[in-house]
Amino acid sequence: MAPRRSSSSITRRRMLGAMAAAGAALVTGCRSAVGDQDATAARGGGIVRIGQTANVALVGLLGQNTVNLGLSRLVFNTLTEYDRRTLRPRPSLATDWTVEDGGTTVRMRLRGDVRFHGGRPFTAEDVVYTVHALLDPRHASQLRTTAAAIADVAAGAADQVTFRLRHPVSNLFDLFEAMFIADRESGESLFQEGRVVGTGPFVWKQHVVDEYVRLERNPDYWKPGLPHLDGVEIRTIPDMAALLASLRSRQSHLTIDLSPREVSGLAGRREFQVTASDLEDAGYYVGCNVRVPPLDDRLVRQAIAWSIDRDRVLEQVFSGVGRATSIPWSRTSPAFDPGLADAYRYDPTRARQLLRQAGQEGARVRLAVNGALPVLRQIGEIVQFNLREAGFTPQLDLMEGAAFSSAFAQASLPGLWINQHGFNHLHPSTLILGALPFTARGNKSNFVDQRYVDLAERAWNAGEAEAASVYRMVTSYLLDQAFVIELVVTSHLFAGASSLTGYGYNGYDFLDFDRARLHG
Amino acid sequence: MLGYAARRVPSALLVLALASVAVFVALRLVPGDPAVLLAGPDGTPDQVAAVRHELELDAPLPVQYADWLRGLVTLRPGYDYARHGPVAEIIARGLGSTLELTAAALLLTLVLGFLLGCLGAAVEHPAARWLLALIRTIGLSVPSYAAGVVLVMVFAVWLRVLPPGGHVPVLSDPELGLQYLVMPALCLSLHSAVVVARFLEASLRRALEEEYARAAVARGVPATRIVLRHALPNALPPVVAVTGLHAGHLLGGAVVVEALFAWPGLGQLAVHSIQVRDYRMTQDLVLLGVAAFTAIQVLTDLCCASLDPRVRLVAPGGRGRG
Repeated sequence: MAPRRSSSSITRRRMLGAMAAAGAALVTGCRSAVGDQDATAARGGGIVRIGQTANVALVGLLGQNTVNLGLSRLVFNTLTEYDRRTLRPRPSLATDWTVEDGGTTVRMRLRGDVRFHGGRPFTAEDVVYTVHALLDPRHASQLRTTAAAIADVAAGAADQVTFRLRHPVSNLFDLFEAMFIADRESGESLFQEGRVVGTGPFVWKQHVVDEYVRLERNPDYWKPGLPHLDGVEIRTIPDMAALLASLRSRQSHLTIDLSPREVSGLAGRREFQVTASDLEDAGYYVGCNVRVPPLDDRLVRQAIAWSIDRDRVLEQVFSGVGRATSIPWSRTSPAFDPGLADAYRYDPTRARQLLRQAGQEGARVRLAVNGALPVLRQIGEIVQFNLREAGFTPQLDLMEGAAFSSAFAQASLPGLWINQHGFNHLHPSTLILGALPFTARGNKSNFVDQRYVDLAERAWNAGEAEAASVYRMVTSYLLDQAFVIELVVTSHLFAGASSLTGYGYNGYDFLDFDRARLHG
Repeated sequence: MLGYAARRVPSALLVLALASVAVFVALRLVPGDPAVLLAGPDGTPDQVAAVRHELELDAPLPVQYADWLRGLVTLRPGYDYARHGPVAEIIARGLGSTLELTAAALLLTLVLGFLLGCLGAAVEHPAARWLLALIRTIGLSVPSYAAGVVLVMVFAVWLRVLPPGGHVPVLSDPELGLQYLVMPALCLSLHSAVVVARFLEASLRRALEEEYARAAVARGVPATRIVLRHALPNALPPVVAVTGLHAGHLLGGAVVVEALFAWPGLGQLAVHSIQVRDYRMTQDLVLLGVAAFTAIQVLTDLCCASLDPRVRLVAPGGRGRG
């Protein structure tokens, strides 16, 4: 006979029920990770979370590295800041300035109420240090050419700095716009050990490589009452779909450079806002290595320029964000000429004629694309199709990212390539002296021509009276030689929550959070 | 048992040595110059040469190989120029995150695999068997990336009960850490759980047809006791072997899941290191992976031997020991 079960004994059913109840209590009693995220907006000014696909690059802090768009202007300031629409400089760390001696001497007076995050006053010596650091090739600044025009920079009184130039330059304030003033006492540790000390609205708090950078409010910021936010966190989210999910789930308040396709899904939704920078500072182009036949023939390059359907690239790759164009200048650039912007239109018949004229029908061309970047891959497929239409025999080479970057750096790409450049919106000299595809003395197309060098020098030194005509000559020359074939100019995209307001960006699209607010 | 493990050491070292040569040579054959990449697109030849010297890439290849091995053996793997930090520290941080994710995924694999496998062997109702078959099909056919996207959409974007990505170490904050961990671990474990379930179900069914199981039924032993106390231990050895193999799969699959959930593990570190041609970091990570996989295989063999006394741990030409 089986023993009777006692009424007080623990049955399996009771045990399972107790475990389920305990589990439910544990889950409902836990602190919510999502709740923690939402609470930051309710506490004071709040902590803004920015998502981007790449890690910040400390070594590129003095450069124009787009991975630092969400960082540099938050921690540092510049001497001047552009009015984006007029490209006129306004005071920032410098209060006023004079240009003397025919443009070869610039004297600046500096603010006396600015302190670095460690408490040390900002002085002219820090400006001197930053200029010398900018000239150091380790910091990879594309404005080194412009900086090299500075023969001497000297600190007068603590609040005065004088720049003496080798010759007048027209784009000096482009340099100042990108020259984030570093703390001279940090020295090289600024770039290597992460002691990032600036004068900006936020103080460097913590950096975990591959994860995030945390900044907290600078209570001693020299702009009274600013910033409003308690802090900023810049998170690395490598996958584009994950970056979009972080925005849609409100884990991120702002994202940098979500692709136009991802962003198109946010259109019409009130809880999100998408801002395309009005600078038009991203130009996508086809580059030609003129050492590789038949690209050494100008007619062949022009045939390529006529063969490409730029409108299709704009619509299919960029969802219409941007502008198809034949010239590298943005609409705000003094060199922009609407009459030349459509110099090359999609015309495969004309392309074929030019190819025939050059005796290169059926010419084989290799088209290298950085396979790691989906946007460039998509453009490459369209261009390959267009080239075939025009009578070329194209071969699309999807290169691995490092292999492409390496070949680009060594100007050894095997023919044509697709890539992106900046500086479209700045002073024209900045592009033709600093942007790597275009630099008159040593570009990635291996294009060498004394006339181009002379034109670049003239543009650099041009006074207001002759500037327009010189820029038109430069533009016409670039169109004629076609070693860089412009396709589309577009902008950096900032997609964010509508609860984040008041933020802006400087002349290089570095985010400005001085007046940013986070609403509950 | 310890003797068996000790006898595996020379072969494990040989595997590591061959792997080290293979990864060292393979990296240098792949296009892309790390010195050029670090010097930047406008680096002059002198600057590139200076960077190459700083990275010690201008030394002869045997010297580079020896330096690297010496750094590993003395536990001083050096400085990472891509991330500007000590290699050991960077790898340790990534290893911690990956171990956390892989351990959680392995636990879920075992729990879900055992649950589904036992149910599959015990359940006879047609509707229930159909449901189990559907779960198996979905688990096997949906790639982890797709499963991850669906999980994020449902739990992070629509329901907003879990964060879509990121990492909080479980050991430093278990409350929050588990919330960040559950979706990536589930995503990573689904495929392996279904495979383990299939093996367990088949193995259990075979065990339940053995004479001892029939005898237990005849004696009136409860079905649950028959399955758990008698059939399951005999069904486990092949399941343990498959689980060991899939532990390696979990490590490899972590690369995709880490990207999707912004999980800062070794997978992401390896991908980025290869992309920037960070030779030293890539070599260290590959060797670490080989060592981990080798250790897992030895552990699997030991588990099989301890579960099944019929398995002999035999050395070549030697006497077997149970």
